Amino acid sequence: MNAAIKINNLSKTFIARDTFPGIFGSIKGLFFAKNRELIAIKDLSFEIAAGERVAFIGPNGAGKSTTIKMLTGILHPSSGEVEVLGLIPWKDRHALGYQIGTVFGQRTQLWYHLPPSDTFDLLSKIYEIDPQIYKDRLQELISLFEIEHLLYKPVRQLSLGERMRCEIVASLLHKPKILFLDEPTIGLDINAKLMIRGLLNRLSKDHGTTLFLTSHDTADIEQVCDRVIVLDKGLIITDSSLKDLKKTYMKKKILTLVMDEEHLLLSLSGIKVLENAHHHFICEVDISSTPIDRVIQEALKLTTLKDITIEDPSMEEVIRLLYGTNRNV
Amino acid sequence: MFKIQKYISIFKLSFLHALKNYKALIGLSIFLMTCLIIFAHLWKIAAAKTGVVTFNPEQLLWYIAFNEWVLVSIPDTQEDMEQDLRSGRLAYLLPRPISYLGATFAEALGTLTVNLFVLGFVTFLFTWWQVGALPFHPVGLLVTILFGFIAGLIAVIFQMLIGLSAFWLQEVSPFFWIWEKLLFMLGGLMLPLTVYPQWMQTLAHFTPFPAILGERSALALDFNMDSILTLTLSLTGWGIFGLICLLLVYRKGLRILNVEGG
Repeated sequence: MNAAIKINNLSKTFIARDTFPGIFGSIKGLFFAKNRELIAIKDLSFEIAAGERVAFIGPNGAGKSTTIKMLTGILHPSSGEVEVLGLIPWKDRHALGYQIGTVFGQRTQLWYHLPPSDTFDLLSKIYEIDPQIYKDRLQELISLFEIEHLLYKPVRQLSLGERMRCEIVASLLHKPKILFLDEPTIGLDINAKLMIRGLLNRLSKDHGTTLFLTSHDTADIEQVCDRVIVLDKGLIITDSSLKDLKKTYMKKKILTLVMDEEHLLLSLSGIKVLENAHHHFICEVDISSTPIDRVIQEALKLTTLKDITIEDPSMEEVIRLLYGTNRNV
Repeated sequence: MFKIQKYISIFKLSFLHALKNYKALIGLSIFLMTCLIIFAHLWKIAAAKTGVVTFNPEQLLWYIAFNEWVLVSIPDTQEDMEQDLRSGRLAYLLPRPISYLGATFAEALGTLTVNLFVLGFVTFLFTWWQVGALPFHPVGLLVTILFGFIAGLIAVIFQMLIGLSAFWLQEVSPFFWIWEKLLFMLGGLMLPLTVYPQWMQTLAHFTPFPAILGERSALALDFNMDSILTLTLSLTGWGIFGLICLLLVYRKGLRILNVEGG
């Protein structure tokens, strides 16, 4: 495997200062506050191959952003080894900077009173891109992200979705081999989210860019990534392909039957009725105990079916299950 | 491409950005003129009555105007640095193949240059209109203006040093408050240092403040080669000292850095 990212026993500990509430507590805290070790990441190990699209997810405070910051060389780890494109991020931060891109949702790299084109020109100088290559690259990204009409508009006048498209273009100008995305669709409307996801897919497909994404929006994960690493309290709780994850955790299916009868008097073990009225019978089927075809066969004995729909539970449900499982351990 | 060109590009863009942010320039100009009106009225009465100042009232108003010009022009770089850390923008800036310190300095320099030019014109015309006289040597004025740019640059270096304290404390305002008050007092913002008690004058000369404000402004009104030489040495020395401190503190700060968010 041609590894783009290699992490071995990575740990990061912060020192937190405990203080006391209230005014007197604050004064007391000046003299008696205690330092406490806070483990953000503990013995993290994984590898990511070049071109992979990995979702790095977990509840708030799981250590996702801390890991990204170590991978991009912003933070020094407390212990462990990291290699990104063969470089040690915190030691070779500037050399690595030429090969990676970062997108942080709701944080900006564009100059507020100037049009995005000015920031793009500046970044081409910072990344030392040959003027002709820059011109071609920018043209390519302008058509891919459809930002021609935004190029000369001051950033302060752009909508959040428009700005995010420009932010991603800014991060891609130097053709990074790895793109780190931290909540890239946060705050965007549904159309803008769909557009960003589509663009990331095309980027990965056309250019083989490795994507490392953190997001609380499960649709980002479902529509962009093919591997999921789940982190909680600084530990990896799951690392598998999206397909396997669904197979493991999606033991329930949602079955919708449209029938002639007003409602259906069906009672079986392993099914949970969600709706039963207006010619619609919707239930959750536990396929580990009751096969779907058995439910349909039983329904056919009682009525004539006009339509059948079988759905997987949402990715959100899978994630909820994952987090829940870990918390119960 | 020479690496210095990266910083020149940032300087140029920051210059343009500050120009486009004309509302901020109008706000600063109004603030500056308000300060000058208050001090003009205050000193017309106080200086005439007390006679503690060696300058006449016209000279004193120009002295204050030269001080205020530089003081108001210095960008709040320390606040920008604190915001970079608090908002997590630092996560964008640090991985780039460019020095964060150098980029911040170039950006501050762009804003400082626009402020000094625009507020320089405002200060000159407004004070001339208020005072009605130009009681200084023309060469002295040019040297004061040139040293005004250098003084602004040195103030930016020290304010960046204050900005770096955010790496440890997340908050720069207490340090900046102390810096600003010391600059007002030991820099001779409202009164030339010569009227201070001897011990305060001695103390002030162990700090960069007089070179940034009072001594530099007094040069236009009391122009002589000795003062130019002293001021050149003082500004150069404090500039080098500030830069060394900045690099050392930055190196140390990077190791303990904890960028917000996550």
